[in-house]
Amino acid sequence: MFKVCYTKIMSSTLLALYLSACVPAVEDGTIPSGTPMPPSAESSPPPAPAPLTDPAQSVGFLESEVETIRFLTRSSWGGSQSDIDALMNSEAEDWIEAEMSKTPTFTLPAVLELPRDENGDANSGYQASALYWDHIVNSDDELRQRMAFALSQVFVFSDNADKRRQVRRAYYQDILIRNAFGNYRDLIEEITYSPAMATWLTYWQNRKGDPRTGRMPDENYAREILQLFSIGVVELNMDGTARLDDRGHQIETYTNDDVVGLAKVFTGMTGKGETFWRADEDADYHPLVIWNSHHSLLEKTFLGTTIPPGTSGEESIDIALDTIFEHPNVAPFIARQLIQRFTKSNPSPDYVERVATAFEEGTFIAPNGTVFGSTGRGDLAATLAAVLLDECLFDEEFSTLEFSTTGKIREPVLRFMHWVKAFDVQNIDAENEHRLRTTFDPVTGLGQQPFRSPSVFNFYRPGYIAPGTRSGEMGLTTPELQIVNDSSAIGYFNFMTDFAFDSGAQLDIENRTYVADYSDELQLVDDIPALVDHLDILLTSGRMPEDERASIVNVLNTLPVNTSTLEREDTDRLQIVQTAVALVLNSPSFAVAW
Amino acid sequence: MAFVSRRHFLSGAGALSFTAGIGALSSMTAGKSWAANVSGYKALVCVCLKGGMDQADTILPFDQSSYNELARVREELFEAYDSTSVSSSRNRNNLLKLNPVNPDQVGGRELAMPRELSALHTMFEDGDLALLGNVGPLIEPTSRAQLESNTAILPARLFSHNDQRSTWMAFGVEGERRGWGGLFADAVLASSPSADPAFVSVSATSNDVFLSGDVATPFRVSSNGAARPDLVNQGKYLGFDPADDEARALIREHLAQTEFNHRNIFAQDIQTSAGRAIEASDRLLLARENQEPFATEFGSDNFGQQLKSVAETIKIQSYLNAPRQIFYVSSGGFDTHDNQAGTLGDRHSEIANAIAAFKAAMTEIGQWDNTVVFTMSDFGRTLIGNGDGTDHGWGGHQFIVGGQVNGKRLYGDFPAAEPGSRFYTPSRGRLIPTTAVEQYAASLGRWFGLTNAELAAALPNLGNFDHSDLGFLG
Repeated sequence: MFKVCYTKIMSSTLLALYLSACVPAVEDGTIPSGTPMPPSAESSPPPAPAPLTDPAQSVGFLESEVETIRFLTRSSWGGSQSDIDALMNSEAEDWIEAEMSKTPTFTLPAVLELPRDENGDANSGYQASALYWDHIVNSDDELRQRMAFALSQVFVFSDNADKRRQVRRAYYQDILIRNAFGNYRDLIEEITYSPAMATWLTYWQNRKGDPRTGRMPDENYAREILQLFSIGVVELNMDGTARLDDRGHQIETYTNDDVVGLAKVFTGMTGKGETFWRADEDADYHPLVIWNSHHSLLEKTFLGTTIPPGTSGEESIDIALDTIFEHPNVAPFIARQLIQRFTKSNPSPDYVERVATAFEEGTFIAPNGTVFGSTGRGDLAATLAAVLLDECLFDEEFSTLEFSTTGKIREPVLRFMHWVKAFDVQNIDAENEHRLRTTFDPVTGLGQQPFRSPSVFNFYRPGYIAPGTRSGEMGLTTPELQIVNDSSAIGYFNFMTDFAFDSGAQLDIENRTYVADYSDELQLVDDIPALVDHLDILLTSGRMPEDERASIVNVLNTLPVNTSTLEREDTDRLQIVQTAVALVLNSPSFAVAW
Repeated sequence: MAFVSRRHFLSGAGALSFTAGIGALSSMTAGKSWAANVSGYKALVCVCLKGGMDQADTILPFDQSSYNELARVREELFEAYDSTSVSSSRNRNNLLKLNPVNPDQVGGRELAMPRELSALHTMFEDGDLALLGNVGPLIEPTSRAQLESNTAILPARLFSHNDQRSTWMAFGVEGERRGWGGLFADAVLASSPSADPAFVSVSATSNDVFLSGDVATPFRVSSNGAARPDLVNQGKYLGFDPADDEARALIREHLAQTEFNHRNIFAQDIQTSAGRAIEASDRLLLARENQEPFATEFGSDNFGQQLKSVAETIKIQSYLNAPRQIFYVSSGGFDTHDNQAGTLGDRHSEIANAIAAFKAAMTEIGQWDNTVVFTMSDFGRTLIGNGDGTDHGWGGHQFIVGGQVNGKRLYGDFPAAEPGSRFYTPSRGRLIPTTAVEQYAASLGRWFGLTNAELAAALPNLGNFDHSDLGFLG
């Protein structure tokens, strides 16, 4: 083990967060002191908040550019210099409160206006996909939209297999948007009654069993709602770790018999219409209806609950969802995944427990005393606030760590959105952008497309541990690495390069869309180190390592500036900025938020 | 930048550059017997059929009474196929009868494939394809009686997609980090210290655990082989000044770095894999240069293109310094809870045609005798349907195809459609496997060159089963 000494000299507009220090390097993989460690079995409840006399004392006070952009990166889609300037010297809680009070923006109206073919499909989907991008770029309710994106990765619906997919998708997405700061119980009910979910997990027109033919109800939704949307496969402690029985084994939460029993509940459901088999034109964006003639009236037993024979569909579903919701697994199961979508790919059990507690109690008291949550157990506003305002994120020691084994690997959609926000990208019309029509391909796209994961298991698994890596060796969960491979790494770089250089193929080349504003950056071209420092704040939250920085500076210093004409000079100066941006967008310190 | 072993890095040596192989590999494999036979090229191609392929709608009974029995048990599904109509693919007259060399394997019964699998039927009749019946995850042999008396020792989380797929690939529920394909690749690497570890295991699809070993990390090929960073390779971003050329070269060097000192473990992991991607992709593309395309045409569907990428990689195998290779491809859409009659046929023809094209391409380059393609799937499906579809099962039937396969033969069991029989779980007629994945894997691994000791290490429960060689190869 050897020591690394270095100083960081920051420009005068920044508070000096980094100290001149000699600290031990950690090539040997040991965890340095100061890293949040998993707790012992007992963890004390959070202390009651002390009355504040000075807001700057609150741990959620964003007192520097770096702290501010880190907060925005974790909580929102990122931000521009002016976003940072506006938010700095205020409290994180205030931003969250303001975001939660904003009017929600929905996606269905615009999708309904798209021209349709004779099947009612919105033009094979790419126009609606383009609308998706424009919607999240333009929407002012950024936290709500980011929460909906997070929820879409837990309560997965993919428009892949579905004929009337875009309208169903938009209606489904709006369910997530509407309930983002609401209650889990309402969310899971609206999801259950959505045509999108019914067609995706095949309970649309699922019928009760028929003793004569032997037919039994489709088990798909019954299994996946348990496995993926509520309780998972093994019993959990509040901290997200698996409970163990006397012999040290994990305890399965449900058996195949539970699935068979629950399957009877989701029978008789179809789109609104005159008959069970014929749905109305607009059924795709209305809740499902239940035909009790096709609903199983047998006794239904699952998870220790028995629904008596003769119980109607609506009542059976109500009881089933209540039963599922009551399970103690829901809080940690949802909490851990929400943390993964926002702040940490491998959260500590301690952190999971605090967030799960907020879910269970339905409220969260922020560091500055603000209370979040009003709908009781399962309140998502409280849960999300607990995720974003947890003490571990603002820990002074943590923010100056010399080596971290924590943080969040940002999925490609988040990385692209950060570029959009950082440079105040204008002329938003994704339909004009060839690359945004579909983004699921790892070589030509981002390797990820919202609402188009390959299966109900999302793009990656919450428990994924990457083979052949340092983090894998330590057993850290890194879901987002599951879609990183030789093809995607280069594909992502090419995708982002096209946008950084505004050179992507466009339908209307006269009217360039998704254009970045590099005016701040252009002013720094004569001082390359300052340019890179600036991008290090804007994009990598001050985390860029020295050797990478030096390499980028070296590249930029090599680029020529031809001053023979003003036009040539401007082009060359712009290329320097674009190259710098492309390289920083490719930095692993941009990929990881910590 | 040559391969840096993960273990070597963690032992504190930091970023050392050294030529691929000798120093690092020998330190990693010290004490292990380098016994796998790697003389002469061989390729294993694993085809994962995602979702759980319905065995009873893939291999159907052909003799009249068995056919009638299935049609009765599957009344609603056969109705969905309109099976009594003259043109229906499930009309008995349209089934393709199999004529195995060993018909006694199924007693007096006869089996057939639906016409969508005609390309595979042809390969069966030509002796290139073997069928393995009722194979699936087991801890030890078990029975219906044991299930009913709650004395069976079973794999965890049966009927769960991700967990069963993981169990097929790595003998444990989701979260396992090494698959037996990766361990097979490790054995190859252990026997050939000068091989290029980057290309011994190759995936044309997602990062599933099958190809992850202790040493081997799969390379991900794409449809043109590999990607290149456009900023380096295309003129349109920067100019054409000599300084621009110099910048492009520096950018290439920058991108290929594997060890910038990010102060975060995840960032370091990303740096290493991204840098490796640049280097390995360039090596692959170099090996592909000046190659003539195959005369064989592959389908434009995703699965066809995956097998095309595999074929192209095998074609350049001698330039890749990989003495034997193991590949992974996948095809989705087999989770037919719904509209099975409307979707399974398309999935079948897609895989059959792609495998037939693959055979043709391998024959073009004289590698068909050195290649074995084999399928796996999450599970089979319920004999008793849900109306127009079926639900999650357990045991299923798989295909093994290759020049050296003892084809035109049936291996394992193909139980009749009697959900009350001992072959099925009490609920909904899910097959209880009578051959274990380990036995299947061992038969493939042995052909691939692994010794018994290496097989035992890669397949820990192998000893719980009789017959570690099912006989479809060699």
